[in-house]
Amino acid sequence: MDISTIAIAIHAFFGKFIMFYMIIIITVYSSMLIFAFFHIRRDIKVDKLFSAEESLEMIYSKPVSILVPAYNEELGVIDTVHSLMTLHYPLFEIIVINDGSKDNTLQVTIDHFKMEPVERTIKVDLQTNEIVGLYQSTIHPNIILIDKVNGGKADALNAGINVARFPYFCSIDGDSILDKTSLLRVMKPIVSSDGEVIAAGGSVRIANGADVQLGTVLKTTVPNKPIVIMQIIEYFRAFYMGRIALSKYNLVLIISGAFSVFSKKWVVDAGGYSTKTIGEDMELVVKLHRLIYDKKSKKRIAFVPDPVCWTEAPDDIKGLRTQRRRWHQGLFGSLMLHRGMLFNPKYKRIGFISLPYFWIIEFFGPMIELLGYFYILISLLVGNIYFDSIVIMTGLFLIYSTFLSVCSILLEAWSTTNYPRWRDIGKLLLFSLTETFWFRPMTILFRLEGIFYYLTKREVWGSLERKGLSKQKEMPDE
Amino acid sequence: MVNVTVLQWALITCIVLLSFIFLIILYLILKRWLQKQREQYIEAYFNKYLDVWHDYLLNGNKSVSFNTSHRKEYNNFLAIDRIFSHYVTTVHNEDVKIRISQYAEVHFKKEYRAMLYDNNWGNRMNALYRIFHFNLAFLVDDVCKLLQKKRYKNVEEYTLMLKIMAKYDETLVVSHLLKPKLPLNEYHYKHIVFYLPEQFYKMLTQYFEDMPYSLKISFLEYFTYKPSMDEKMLEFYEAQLHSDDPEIRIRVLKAISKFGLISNIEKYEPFKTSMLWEERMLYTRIVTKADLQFAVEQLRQLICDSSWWVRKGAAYSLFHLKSGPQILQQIIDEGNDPFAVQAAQEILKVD
Repeated sequence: MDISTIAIAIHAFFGKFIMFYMIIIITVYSSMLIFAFFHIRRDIKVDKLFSAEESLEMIYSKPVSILVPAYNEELGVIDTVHSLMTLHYPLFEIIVINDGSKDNTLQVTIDHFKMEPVERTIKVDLQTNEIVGLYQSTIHPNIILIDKVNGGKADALNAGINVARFPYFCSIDGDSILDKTSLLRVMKPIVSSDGEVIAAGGSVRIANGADVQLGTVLKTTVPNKPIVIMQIIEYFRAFYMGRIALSKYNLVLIISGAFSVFSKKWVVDAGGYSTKTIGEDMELVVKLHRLIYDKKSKKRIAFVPDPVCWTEAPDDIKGLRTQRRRWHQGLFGSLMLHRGMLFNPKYKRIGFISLPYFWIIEFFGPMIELLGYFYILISLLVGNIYFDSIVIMTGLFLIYSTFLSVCSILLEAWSTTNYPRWRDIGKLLLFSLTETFWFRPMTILFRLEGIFYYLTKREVWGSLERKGLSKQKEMPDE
Repeated sequence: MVNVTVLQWALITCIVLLSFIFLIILYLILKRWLQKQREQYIEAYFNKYLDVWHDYLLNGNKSVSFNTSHRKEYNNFLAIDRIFSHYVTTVHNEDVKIRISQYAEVHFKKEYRAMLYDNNWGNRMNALYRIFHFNLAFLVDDVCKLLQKKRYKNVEEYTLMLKIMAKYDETLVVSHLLKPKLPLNEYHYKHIVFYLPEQFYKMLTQYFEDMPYSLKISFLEYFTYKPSMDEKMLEFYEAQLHSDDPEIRIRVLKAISKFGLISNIEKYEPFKTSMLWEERMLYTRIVTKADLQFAVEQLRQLICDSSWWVRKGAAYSLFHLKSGPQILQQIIDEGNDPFAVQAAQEILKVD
């Protein structure tokens, strides 16, 4: 057997392997899409005003502590807290945790909300870095500020959990903004299940370019920056397709750290957020699933597509790289920490469906996609005999990917009962057609870098430059 | 080379997917256009008639332009319905609800009835919400018929129907409460029970032992939010203190702690040494109803409890007693128990 025969055989093998993997992806995503379609379609006509109103009475709700970990968030933290203050919810407190910021996050918050130091006995359920000071707003007594020694997001959240008075807490990023009824809606599965649901996450939307005034998103539009447009499409696919299906069967392993609610008791029992991994939000959810099975409980973790959290997405390549590298590193870390659950009969659906999905599709996906790109390149270089088939197959996957993106736009429109402008549809469609040629290869490399960082034990959060979501109004000359 | 048949299928799939993409985009553009048309119409309607409606709903004044504001067009109905929804959820005024209900009965009976009998679940839920919030009594018989024919798709719809019946004809609700046609949990029962008239609720106590567990729990919570207890109800609640179920005992203690009324503190003393911190904590609230000296003595013991919540509860109750702050200061000065001192210090500084 000569080298060329071996090379052809290897080439054919990889071709079949990639084809087989793509068929799995198409089957899984198509199933998720069909499921999400029926789920969202059912609720499309329900008047959200009244369905939220019925949960507004104290008797039906549970009080919530909203935790806002903030590290160098001087630009965004005030808007975030303002948006939280306008939430329609019977009883809640807002706890901002300044995690040793190097900018003016602490002073800005103290000055704006007229905060004063307070003494409070803190029940230390979770070990954290030292809390240096505790403040309470004199104008809004339900706003608390924790000043602590830097320890990372997980450590900050754990400190917040210790200080929290209420049985449920909501974790939200320091630059995020919630819709008025978001908390009501994300708490609904928890409240309506009598506590069977112990954690719930809401969907996250990108607010870059939106009109934000005093912590409220007044108007949204698809911005012109290609990187942001691509992320909008990605977020639609992730939230309106993937998580709905997983949630129905209690298979969700990620509820966004940007906006999620947890039972304090269960999180404390699980040991709180792990400071050992960068992907602390996913790791906590996996840990909760583990605890549910260990306790032989019927508790669930849900995703609610309806409530919305607005967040700032990175708008340059450097920021995107940092984010995606961190996400994939966190994913790898969480999967490795709980590798004992994989195919373990004790963990039933999580062990046999959810974790394999996250390993095969979410984790190995970038590597196999990269292999796919190389395969296409080599096939094209080999000669014309493969050219037609490569073009058709590539075209098929490209069109399928665009089809998923367009369906996600439709699902988002149904979920929010707000149909996008035709200009925005055009932008999203155009860029989803180009995704395969530049955005996906780029993010694949960033995600592979995350794997490299994990393997070389580089725990670097990196910094994302925040521009803040509020438009700075120019004051007229006096 | 990939098999020709596979390529053909790939091509066909591409065409089918492209067709779907095209149709979805067309659908989105059309829906956007329709939505925009409707919103522009409604906005124009608001600009023209909102003040008129405001004057009518709040003051009962029907100006000349009032009669022109309800021409029978569907978009008019949507606009007016939206006005009703806004006022009902932001203005807590019974006269507003009466006017809405009267107007809807005269002008929109057909529209709301059509909504109630729609095949689409979302539309039916919207009709039920409106029957409940707008007080559309003229549709209650329809709801009753739908209930009897089991014309509900899921527990949300079923609960909302029962909630409406609890408000308008509570006698029909009893059988559903005791033997629900769909499994109801505490949350669902609360939505129904909370709207029962108080006299009817008292009558239901005779069925307490036959109630499903979730109903018992919700039932006991009733007086936590409607503190108008009388001696007979207090007797019923205190009888449940002997229940083997800790959840029932906790709910009872919680309700009684809100009453401001107990028969005899001796019935509650065993909870001072309960294994459950919740019961001990609730005891710290109830004991304040007893003789002052006794209450102070009990709370001084409980402020040294092993549970943080119980200590906090004891400190809070002590603070609100006569000479409470002085007693707390004494505890601090004595310094016998560091946890008690901490609890006392915190409550004196915060309040």
